[in-house]
Amino acid sequence: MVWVTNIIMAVAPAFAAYYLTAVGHGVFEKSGVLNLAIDGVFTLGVAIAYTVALLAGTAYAGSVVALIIAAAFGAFIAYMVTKLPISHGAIGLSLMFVGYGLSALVAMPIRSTTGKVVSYPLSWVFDIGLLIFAIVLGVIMHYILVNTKLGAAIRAAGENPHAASALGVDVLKTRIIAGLLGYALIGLGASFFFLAYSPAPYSEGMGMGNGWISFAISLAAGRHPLLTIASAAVFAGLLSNKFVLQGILGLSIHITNMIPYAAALAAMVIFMVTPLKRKLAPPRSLGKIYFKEERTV
Amino acid sequence: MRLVVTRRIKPLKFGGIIIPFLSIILGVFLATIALYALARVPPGLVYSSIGVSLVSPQMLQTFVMLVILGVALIIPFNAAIWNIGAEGQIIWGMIASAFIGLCIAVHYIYVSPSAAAQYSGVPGAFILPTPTATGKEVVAKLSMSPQAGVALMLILASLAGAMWALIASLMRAFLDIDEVATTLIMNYIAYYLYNYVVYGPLQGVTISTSGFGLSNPLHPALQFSRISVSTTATWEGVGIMIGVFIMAWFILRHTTFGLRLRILGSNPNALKAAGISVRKYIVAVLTISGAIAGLVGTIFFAGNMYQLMKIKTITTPPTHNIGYTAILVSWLSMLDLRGVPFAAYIVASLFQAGINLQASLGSISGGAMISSGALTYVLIGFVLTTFTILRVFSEYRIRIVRGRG
Amino acid sequence: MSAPEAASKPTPFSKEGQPPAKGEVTILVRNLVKRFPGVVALDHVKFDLRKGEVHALLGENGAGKTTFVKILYGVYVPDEGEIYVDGKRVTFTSPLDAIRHGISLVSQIPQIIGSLTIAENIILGLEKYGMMVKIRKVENFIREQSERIGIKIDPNTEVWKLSYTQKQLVELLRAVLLGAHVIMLDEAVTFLPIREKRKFYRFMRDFAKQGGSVILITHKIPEAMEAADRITVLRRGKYVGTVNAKEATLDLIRKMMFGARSSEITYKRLPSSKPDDKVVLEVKDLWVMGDYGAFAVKGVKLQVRAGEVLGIAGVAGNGQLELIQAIVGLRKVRKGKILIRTNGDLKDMTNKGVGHIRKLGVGYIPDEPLKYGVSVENNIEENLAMLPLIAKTVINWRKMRALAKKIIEEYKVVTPSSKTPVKLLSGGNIMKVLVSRELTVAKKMLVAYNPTRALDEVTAINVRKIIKDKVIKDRIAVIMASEDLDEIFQVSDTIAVMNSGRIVGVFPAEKADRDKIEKLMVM
Ligand SMILES: Nc1ncnc2c1ncn2[C@@H]1O[C@H](COP(=O)(O)OP(=O)(O)OP(=O)(O)O)[C@@H](O)[C@H]1O
Ligand SMILES: [Mg+2]
Repeated sequence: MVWVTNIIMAVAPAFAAYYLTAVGHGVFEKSGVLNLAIDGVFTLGVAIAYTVALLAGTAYAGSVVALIIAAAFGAFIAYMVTKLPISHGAIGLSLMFVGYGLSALVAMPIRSTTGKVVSYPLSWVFDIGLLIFAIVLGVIMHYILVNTKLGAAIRAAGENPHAASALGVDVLKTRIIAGLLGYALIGLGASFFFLAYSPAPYSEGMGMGNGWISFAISLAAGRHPLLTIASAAVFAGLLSNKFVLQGILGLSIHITNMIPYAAALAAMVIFMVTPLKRKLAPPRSLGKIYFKEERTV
Repeated sequence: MRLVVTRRIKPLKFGGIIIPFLSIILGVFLATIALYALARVPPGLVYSSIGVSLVSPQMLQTFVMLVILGVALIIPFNAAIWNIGAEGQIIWGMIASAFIGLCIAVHYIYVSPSAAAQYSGVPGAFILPTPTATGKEVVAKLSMSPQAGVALMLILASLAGAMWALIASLMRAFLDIDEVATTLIMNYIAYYLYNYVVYGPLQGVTISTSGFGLSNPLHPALQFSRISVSTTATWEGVGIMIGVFIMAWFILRHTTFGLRLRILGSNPNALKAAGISVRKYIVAVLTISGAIAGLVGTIFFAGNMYQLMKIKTITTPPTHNIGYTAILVSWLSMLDLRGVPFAAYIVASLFQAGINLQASLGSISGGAMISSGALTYVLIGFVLTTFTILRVFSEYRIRIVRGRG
Repeated sequence: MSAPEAASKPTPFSKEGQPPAKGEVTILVRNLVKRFPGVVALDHVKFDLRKGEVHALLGENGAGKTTFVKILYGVYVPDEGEIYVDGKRVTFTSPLDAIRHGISLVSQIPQIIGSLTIAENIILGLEKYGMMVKIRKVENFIREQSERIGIKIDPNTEVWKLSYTQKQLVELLRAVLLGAHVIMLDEAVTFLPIREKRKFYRFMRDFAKQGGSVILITHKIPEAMEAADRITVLRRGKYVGTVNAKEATLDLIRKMMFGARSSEITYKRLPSSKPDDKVVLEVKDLWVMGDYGAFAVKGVKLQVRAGEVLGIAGVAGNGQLELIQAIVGLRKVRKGKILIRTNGDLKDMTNKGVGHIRKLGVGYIPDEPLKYGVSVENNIEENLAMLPLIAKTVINWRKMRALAKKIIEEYKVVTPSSKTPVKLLSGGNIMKVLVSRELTVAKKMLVAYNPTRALDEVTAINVRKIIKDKVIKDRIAVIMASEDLDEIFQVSDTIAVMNSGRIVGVFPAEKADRDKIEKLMVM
């Protein structure tokens, strides 16, 4: 039994962080918005979680505020690219830089006065709770996407916003909801990344790059919330156990570091040669500039 | 009351000048507020560092690399193939140049300290600054002409970048696997490969390099020549930039290949019906993009780094993430080649502004708490977000519609 | 011609709380203006739609018909003008606004989403269902409703699996389920096979009888005269007039639509090109698979000679599309042979690939020209240069410009310049660009599928003349499938009838009997 709790404690926090972020990414991109701001907002989420948890004295406050601010970013991006014919790539990457920059500024005052860190409890009970919480959220997202009118509207907006609008979808509202939901999860994931997975004394740029990793985890599973469980678990599992791998395989640490990424690539190949392929195709209008009065031929 | 966006009958007069200008003012203003509110950075300092950096020769090197990479990315982007993997392709370029520069074009010989003296002044020989673990000196000796060495470095770097992109392109062309994800993931693999190489095959031989994740230093004869006004830019880099730009302009504007890759971006079906293999084009555009990005690896290695140094954390690669920044450059140029230098100029000056700002902050408070990177990010982020949003108003306008639906 | 006068007094149409009776005006439009870069698509247009009428909206390509209905559907917002629905001034900024007022639009290209099920597509516009409603729960409602109006569907089918006709039926069903009392059909029946087209028209009449109103856009004037109560004509964005369909004559409508150019309209057989004996294309026992895993072409055998136009008549969906695609190499041949004359001999080109076949000097006018024919984001010069037969590795842009200019002049393409993106041209002009480009490369043969569908009469006849001239002048071979019998009779030297994947009859055009051919088509 001990080894079970050990594994859960080793993998669950990383899993929850990557999984929630990846699901959030998938939900947002399903609505047709290319989400390149993810890493910036993730990094900002980490900084906010750290700062707020420390100020409020409880990790939960950190998660809540990170969720709210990230969701605001999501709504903003969705509004801009849907209301105006704006390049998704340009606004996404610009906001990524905003996120990077603000993360340093947000955490600066408190980081310079204390080395303390407030985090979630280090217990297997908490970790199991976190694991269940993350998966339940993912399943709910899946349910919404597949079974509800909202989900159909999100998918319609992602496939063809012009046709969706003609069918009676309020594309703007739909994408804003997708942005709020998606980025709420991303903010939550970022907060768990710091407060549950790696609560070390804060240094500038902490968490950077992990948004991209979640991006890859999501795409490796074709943005499908249930399949993402597998890709996130494989990734988090390999990442948390790289030293074990190194021992077993007798490989250089640099090579074992690559394994999680190589596994993600392998997962994509496997998904694409199976009949799942159709379900996992990217939304057809992903990243396409949307101008309502465009000549659609 | 509702907002409706319609296309202007004629583009806004002078929009091309007014809008960037307004964006910079508004964006800098927003950045200043954020900097002051969150970190008490004096606004005056922000304005002066930006003013200085717009005309600073220091940003030349960033500009050169951003132009080359902007061109490298614009080629596949026009074909709607999204290469997010310039980072990895640059890293492969670095490794390949290091392999040529450190193993093929030069050999390193152990000599006793007395023998080392013999080599001083011998053409093509260079005594490494620090001795080996065994107390012996190391002399780097050219095994070919430096011109040939440099040429080989560039060729192999380009091939290596192309090869790395080729993998993703084949997966896209034959298995239909999203290249955004594969090229991104492969960046991380490349970073770790780089670490593997500096601890393995390319590990240096002197006491200060061996076991520390450092390679030998590059022989001075193979190093690019600095442009004197700039502390970082090199003549070779500028030459490559001009060459790449002209080549890309010719391909995109004057060849059927360039035309068809643009059509691939908007209507691949039309290409198929015309009898053109879409797969070949997907593979070609991505490999060309990787080949150009690979060259930047050489510019980094032979122009600035001279030595491979391990990556401590995955977020601080030797590329300074310029492969990602370049994505922004190509999108800012609206995938139009002519816009690349302009976009690169803005981004490079903002980069420089961050560095300048940090330096002046440091001189006031004696050691700033915020890195120049973070300051740069704030500036780039706010200015370019504003620009991205405002630019649509040169072609579109917002109307307020009253009345009920 | 009395309607516009009556309609010029805008209020009040209906007393509060009472549904307007039959004959009352339901939509009134005044002074509608919409400008796009380089063109005034609608120039102070007026229009009125009554309860219980079918109102046809006619006009040549680019007249502004689509723009007009898209404004009524909230897709475009007009620059100026007023719209009243049941007496109330409205401003639509999205289709949802129009749907709320009971207005629906069915377009030529189905605006439904392929990866969604029928139920999902329909539910998106049903506001009585909240965001979180479970789609399964609505499926039954949709099934019942569709059976009630006589459409048999499984709401859980994904739309990409449907045929074109089925998709249009779903669009219609959707309009009905949304409770529309105004349905606008923008060339929605143009591509339908005859039998389905009739059903559509019957449905329309019933719908109008029950108090609904229909705006019908089509290029088939006789169909409009038969189906509509009134006809409004637009020309270059301007309102020309409204007439009662019963009082109108074909000639009058054509004059209103085309002005002096209406005299160009003729359905007489174009002069024959006198084919010689040299066979250019020979198809032997051809078997080709359709999209759904069954053979669509079953043992077709045919020959086309130099200077000959072979017209393949048939109802849509009888294997013509697959046959045409196989001949140009876009679809795999399972059995049989395709031979094309090269350097004096018939050479086997079966499964050699499009690139190879096109290089022999084969022009191709595809079905869905906007998808497979041109690249709409690019300009005319670029659309010419994209073909390997027109431009080599390095493009000589000066030559391309000259060629583009020649085409624009010769074929009267209306465009601001040869550098205008093709997507900004009207449908007819895009088609002219495509046809002229393909004729330029058709040194040996032209393969075409419905080359004039969605074109107005004058343009269509001009395109046919252009093709025929080329056959006479350069003695190329033409194989052309068309669902339009007028077209088949006008250009063909030989007529082959295709039914259920087989050629069921071949006739020399001058001896062909129209009744007999129609019978063979639906047999
Ligand atoms: N979204 C748009 N952007 C720019 N120009 C447009 C747009 N839609 C239509 N136009 C232009 O407006 C004019 C009217 O086009 P419209 O599509 O309404 O014509 P139409 O009567 O439907 O013609 P057709 O019979 O060919 O379908 C054309 O010149 C067309 O090029
Ligand atoms: Mg139209």
